[in-house]
Amino acid sequence: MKDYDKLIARLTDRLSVDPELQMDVAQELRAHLDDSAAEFREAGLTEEQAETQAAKALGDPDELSGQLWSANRTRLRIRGLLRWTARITLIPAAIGVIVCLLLSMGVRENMFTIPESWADELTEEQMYILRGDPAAETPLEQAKSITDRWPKNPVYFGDYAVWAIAKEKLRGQLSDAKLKRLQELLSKGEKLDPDNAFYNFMRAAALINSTCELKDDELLTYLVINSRGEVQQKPCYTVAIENEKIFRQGLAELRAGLKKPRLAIPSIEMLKIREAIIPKPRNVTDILRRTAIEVSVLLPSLNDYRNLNKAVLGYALAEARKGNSGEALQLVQYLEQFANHTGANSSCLIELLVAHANYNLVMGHAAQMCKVLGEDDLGQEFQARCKESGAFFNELRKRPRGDASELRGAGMYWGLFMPGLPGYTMNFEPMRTAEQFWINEFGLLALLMGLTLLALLMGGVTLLEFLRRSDRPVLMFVGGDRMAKICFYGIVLPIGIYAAYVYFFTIGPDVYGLNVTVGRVILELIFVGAIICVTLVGMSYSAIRRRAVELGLTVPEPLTLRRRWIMWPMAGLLTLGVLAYLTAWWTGHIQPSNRPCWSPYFNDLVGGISNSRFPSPEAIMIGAIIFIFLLIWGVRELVGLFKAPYRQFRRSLYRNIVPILAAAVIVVGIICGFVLNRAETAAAKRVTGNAMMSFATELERCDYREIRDRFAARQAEQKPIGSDE
Amino acid sequence: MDFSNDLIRGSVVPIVLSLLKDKPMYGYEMVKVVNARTGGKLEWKEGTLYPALHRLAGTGLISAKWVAAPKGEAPGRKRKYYSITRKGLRELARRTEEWAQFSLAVDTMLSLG
Repeated sequence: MKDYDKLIARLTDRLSVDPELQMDVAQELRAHLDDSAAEFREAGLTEEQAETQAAKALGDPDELSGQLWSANRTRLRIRGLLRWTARITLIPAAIGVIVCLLLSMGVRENMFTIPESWADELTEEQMYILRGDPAAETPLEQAKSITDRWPKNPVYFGDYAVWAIAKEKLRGQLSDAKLKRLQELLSKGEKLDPDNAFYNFMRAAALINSTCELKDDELLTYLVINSRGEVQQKPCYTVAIENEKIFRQGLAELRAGLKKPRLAIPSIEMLKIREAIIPKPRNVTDILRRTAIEVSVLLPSLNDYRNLNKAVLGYALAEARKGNSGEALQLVQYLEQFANHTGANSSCLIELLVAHANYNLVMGHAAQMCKVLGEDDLGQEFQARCKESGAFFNELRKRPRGDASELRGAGMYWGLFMPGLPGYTMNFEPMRTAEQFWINEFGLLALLMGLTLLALLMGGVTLLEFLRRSDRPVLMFVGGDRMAKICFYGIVLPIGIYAAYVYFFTIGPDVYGLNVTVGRVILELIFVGAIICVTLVGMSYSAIRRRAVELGLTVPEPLTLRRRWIMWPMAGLLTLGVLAYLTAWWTGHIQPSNRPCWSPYFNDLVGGISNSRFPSPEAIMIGAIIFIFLLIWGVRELVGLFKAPYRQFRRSLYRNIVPILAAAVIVVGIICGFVLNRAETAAAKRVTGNAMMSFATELERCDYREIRDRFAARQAEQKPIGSDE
Repeated sequence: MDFSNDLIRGSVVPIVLSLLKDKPMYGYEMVKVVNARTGGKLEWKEGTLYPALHRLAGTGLISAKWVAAPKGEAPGRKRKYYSITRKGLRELARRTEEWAQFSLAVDTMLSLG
């Protein structure tokens, strides 16, 4: 130790509350003394004399120590305050930013529940209609609480009745007690909504299904046109009736329902009411939540209608075999009108398709029944109607429904939900764009969480070292210019380049949706995230290292490309890669691509990940070489850090990387999170009209509504029930 | 003739700002330049410069940056270079004007006396 090291320690002793400042001043004085001593040496003094003269020229140590403390007093206070503030605020603020981002994406509540936040926009009554009593736990309890509050509303009671029928299993073959409970529900519903045939049909289905056992007829088959336009044979239905009286009661209910002017399934009516109440979606999560409400609607009655149809057809066939042609044909008339009634009043696609299937079943059975009765002409008429109905449906299915190129831009949501309905025209762009911003927000969240975890890990290691009473790490202010460089090269530049790429290539009217590109997008996000993490950590390391050098800490030599040895592993890796590639080519394991490396969406370069293929061998090889090279570099740096002379630097590095990473999370989270969130919101707000999923009105948006119109026309032409009696 | 400590101390700030007006300098360099330019008349106690530099940096009149010493001079050594800020330039102009007025007033008084 040089003599003036003791002098410097004495001069800076009063600055010891701020180790970084103390080291900084000490280094400055040391540099001064070195220069001064060198000059004295040049003047002919010995080493010892030169150092003594240099120390003497500096002035009185006690006076200078006081002056240094006095000059830096304000700085000491400000830095102390900053350090204290950073220590208690940065990590919580980083976590706060992540939480805020999550909340802004609307994921604060369960996707399948009505969020509390809607209460800000809706009245208490509207919230009650959406979710019922907040204390209610099941959908049945919620439906009950709603009808209890508005007992005279037929839709609310009907919705409750549908849930009760489904949840209490009031379907199929029922015990007397269950049948009685069901009758009570339906009677009350009918009293509230006397014009709605729903309750009569449900009662008919309950009575008939509870006393029948359906079987395939072993002797008779009926003919239908399948979806490929081929004629297909299927066994007719036959029934074993346990109680003829109950069955007859069921038939009477069916007739009563057919006389009513209206048919509406209450759960769909309820959905329409709720759709009108739900606040306008502000982000993708809101749209998904709305969709969850849509798809949770219950339609158990459709299955009951189908079984009712089959049972009555089986009964009609039995009557025909007995020779009761009048009875048998009348039942066919009832069932045809039943199909017309349900079809003409359909408000959702599934309801219409069930009515269509029922109609074809009736026509097919009626044709065979007429053969039994010897009514061949009538039978041929029924068969022709069955064939015509099937052919019309097949013709509809063949109509344009959005070709493959159109579906490429559909996006994940509509790629999943749009069942390729004919005539279904809509603008995919707003939802597709919202989805793209949404997935980027998730990517950002993952990045921020990763950086925060790394910061917490480093903080934990620092704390552990502190508890083990090791040398105190120095908390350093790396400086505004270095922080600016870290932010620019580590965050702004990679995010900016990626944002420009996304903006110019993946957002617009003629681009691929996430339904096609999700694999590639995830790969891109991982790549960008990795680049940001590596650059951020690398540049932070470099900045801390430089500052540590200024403070006189012993630091490992940086590894630069100028140091030749690093070129050897790189050259070796490249040679190995090329050899492996050529060998695989020669042995036929790799078929080099003739496609250009550039395509609008890099699908060729990455081997069309979007088409569920693996990345190309070329891409894998280049990626692997870069990865291994960085790994060698990183491991070498890391191993170097664990050598004894660098212990204090290593600990200081752990400690100093925490605030840098936390600050990066805060800056990136606030700026990028805000921009992405605003963009997603703007796109989500444009999701309107046909682009908005609506289960209850989807029929209006596709050509299948023509089937409904045909049912309505048949219903208008049909002879009213009981008019000939 | 030796100047009084008060006079020397009072002149440190304008002299430092004036030195840094032309180029960034480190502490020892400043001491050497002042001693050379004043022919040793204004001999600073070297240590007194640093508190003044730290105070000026604290008030934002100058800024500091660690820079590696030129290779031929002191290899591997880093020096803290100070440079004047815009605020410092304004302060230098004010101090120069103030000194001119002050010295004129003192000269007038002394010549009349």
